[in-house]
Amino acid sequence: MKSILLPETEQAAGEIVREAAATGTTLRIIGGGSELPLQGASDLLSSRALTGITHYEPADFVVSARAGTPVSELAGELARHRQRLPFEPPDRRLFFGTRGKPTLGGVVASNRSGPRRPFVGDARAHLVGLRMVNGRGEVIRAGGHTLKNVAGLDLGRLLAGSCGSLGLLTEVSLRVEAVPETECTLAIGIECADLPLLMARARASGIRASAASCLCAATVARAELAGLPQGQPVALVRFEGRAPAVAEHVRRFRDQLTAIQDAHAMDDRASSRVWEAVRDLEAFAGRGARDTVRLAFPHDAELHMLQQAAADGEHQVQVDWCGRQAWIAGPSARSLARFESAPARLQALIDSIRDSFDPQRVFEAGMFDRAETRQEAM
Amino acid sequence: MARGRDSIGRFSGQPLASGPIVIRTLFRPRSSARPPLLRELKSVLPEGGLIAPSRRVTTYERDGLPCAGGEPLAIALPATTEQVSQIVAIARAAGVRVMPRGAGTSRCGAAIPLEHSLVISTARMKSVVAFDAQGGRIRVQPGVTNRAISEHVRAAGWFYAPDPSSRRTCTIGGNIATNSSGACALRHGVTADHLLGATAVLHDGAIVELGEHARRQSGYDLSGFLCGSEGQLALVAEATLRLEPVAEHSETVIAGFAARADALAAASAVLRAGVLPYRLEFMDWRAVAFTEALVASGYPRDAQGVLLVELQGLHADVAEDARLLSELLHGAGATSLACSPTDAELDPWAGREAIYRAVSGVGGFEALDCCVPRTQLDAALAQVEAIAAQHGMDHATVAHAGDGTLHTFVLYKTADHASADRARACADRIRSACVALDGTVSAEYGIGLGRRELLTLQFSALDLLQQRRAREAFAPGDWLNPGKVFPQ
Repeated sequence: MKSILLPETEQAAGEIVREAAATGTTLRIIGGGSELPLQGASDLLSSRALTGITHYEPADFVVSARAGTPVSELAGELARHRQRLPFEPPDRRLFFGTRGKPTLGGVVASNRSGPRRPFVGDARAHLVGLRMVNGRGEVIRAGGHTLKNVAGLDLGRLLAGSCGSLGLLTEVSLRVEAVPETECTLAIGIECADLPLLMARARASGIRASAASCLCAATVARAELAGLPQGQPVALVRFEGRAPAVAEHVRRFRDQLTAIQDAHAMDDRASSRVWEAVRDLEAFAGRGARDTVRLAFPHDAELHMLQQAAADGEHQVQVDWCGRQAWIAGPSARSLARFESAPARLQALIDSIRDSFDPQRVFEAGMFDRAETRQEAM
Repeated sequence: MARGRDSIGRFSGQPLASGPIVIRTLFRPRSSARPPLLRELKSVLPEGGLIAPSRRVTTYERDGLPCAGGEPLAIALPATTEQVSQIVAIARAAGVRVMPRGAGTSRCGAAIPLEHSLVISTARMKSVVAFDAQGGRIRVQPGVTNRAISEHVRAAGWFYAPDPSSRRTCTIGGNIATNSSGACALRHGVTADHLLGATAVLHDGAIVELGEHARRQSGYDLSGFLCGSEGQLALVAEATLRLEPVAEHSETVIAGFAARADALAAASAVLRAGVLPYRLEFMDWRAVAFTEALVASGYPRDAQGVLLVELQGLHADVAEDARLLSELLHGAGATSLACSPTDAELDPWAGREAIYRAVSGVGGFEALDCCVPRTQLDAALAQVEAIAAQHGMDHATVAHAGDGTLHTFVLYKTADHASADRARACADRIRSACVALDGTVSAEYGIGLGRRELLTLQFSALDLLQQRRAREAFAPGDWLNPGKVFPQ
């Protein structure tokens, strides 16, 4: 059994890393343990004991918190001021069958973002500053607490999504936004391959959606959500804002649908519930990495392939971000994954970047250690 | 604005004002090595694609910082990605450092070359490679101007959102280098939020595809990391950008306030109520006076602070937000309120957009682009007043009230070096004061040559060392745009 190291200060974290570097041992960084850590030989280093909001002034629209702060704790504090994290960080405990709480550090390090991502940006786009411990055990600060900043190199762009390959995040500062007055979701009976075109047309005509996903019939059935039509694939499109404006966007969107594309509207509470389920992959509960594959940026042809796979009844499909990512579970899911290595020069650049933070490769880091692909197993 | 020849300090002489700028020659190639190198460069470039040092090339030695650089070895004007790759490789083999250059509109000396470096200008890389009118994205070469992108796509119902004040002339390559943005960053974000993919040329000439240009996403956001790197990591040879739909309707509200603090509190009230304007701008009474003297825009001249709020969206969005906005501004103590539709006789944005012209009509100026946490904006502007008074300087301020960026113009008499020195000292004290308020020395212009020593106010030596290490991972030996950003 490998030990879990839980430093309570960033100085203590620095000492742990320096000692690992001195003894030639490796560490795998984890957050709250809400996602299954990949198997490895390293001890685990977690930011879970570094908790608490360090600065929050609602009118600044920026919040700073230690990396081990549970997302739910921060969300609660933001909600008291009618604010939220715009990128909708997911909670995948049901999917992975885990119990640890998602933390801010984990969300930023993995750049985990929910269905609002294509409309407002991902976790990375909302990161304005951070503190971290690099592979030398040095405590580094990057960015700041302002909404705009171009002083020096933006190390946050590298750290967000680096999955623990560059260092342990100890504190993050994130942009927040006001919670809109209301939301409404349209459930439309269309296939997933039709979603990208529908959303592109809507965007071009100024219709402002805030989420767009498509669930196959099997996913709809497993989701057990009230209000969703059963026995057919369903596209979900969300609108948020002040009530009269939302009503107008919904009306205009309906006008773009053909006569056979029936749309059912879900109001505030039902809408909120359905997107929580989509965000957290509830319909894939317990399937975890066993037989599920996430396809990032599938091409149109791949969306048609997913549509066919969903039609055979053996596979479960959820297409998100207007078609920019998809999950498929079932016996043939893994055959859809295409493994490609990065071109040699790009891989050399990635390795150099890792060396610049962690020259001794103290941090063992899953996908960065393997020739992983754009089709990423989860 | 002092941009006249008499105000320009020459390289190896003194810059305009005594200050921290030191331009050093990092490399001087053997004179015997020059002709073969120039011949080799010429062989891969199109006709007229190399400007040799025998001709005056002053244009390429300057940018918006009143300070001239060293005489470059040559100016290369490639037209394709492959040509960029070839000339960078040739320069690397010859031991000549490379300085990418867009339109040279930088205000901080980011586009000033060191002596004997090879300037690679994007002046001939002005093509639109592909435009996806349905998906709202465009792939361009780096020499396309910011404004030209919007003009190219407008008929199809799109525009390119990041809006630096130099957008008529600045290039997209330069925008990426400085992560450019302007007033509409509040609603639409900065350049990094719009850069979907890039084709980059590394220090040795290798071409790498990043972001959506790559078949495989690397995990690190390398195209995003190029944003704001001031050309020190790689040269961008092509970029794919996200476009925004042109709004169906737009409306601007001009609100006057008896006190600066009231105006800024009103801006906070608007945002906290969930109204997200396209632009939310603050102008102090001096900025109002300067701009109204140049172009009448209907700003209340008796107000201490003015807010300009532009709403965009469907008619329903704008109508609903305008109703709430009016209530909020009245509630926050607005002494005057005027609503101006897009087709109004007086353009409500004409004055705000003419601020640089307006202050340059008064004399020279030091322009600041500090950013502070939004709630510190009033404290920052109080510091501006106090510091300017101590230095005996006139000044004017406009601010992006939505994100806390303040553009203070510290004014001085053109060709009066003592006055210019005082303006620079005053500006640097304001920058320090903003950092002390948990802010940043630069939110838009970048660091370049002119502000590199100020970076130590914001970051520890260790923080900067880690940034340098990351830069070295891309371009070992300060090879690209040398001498910039980091304190020497």
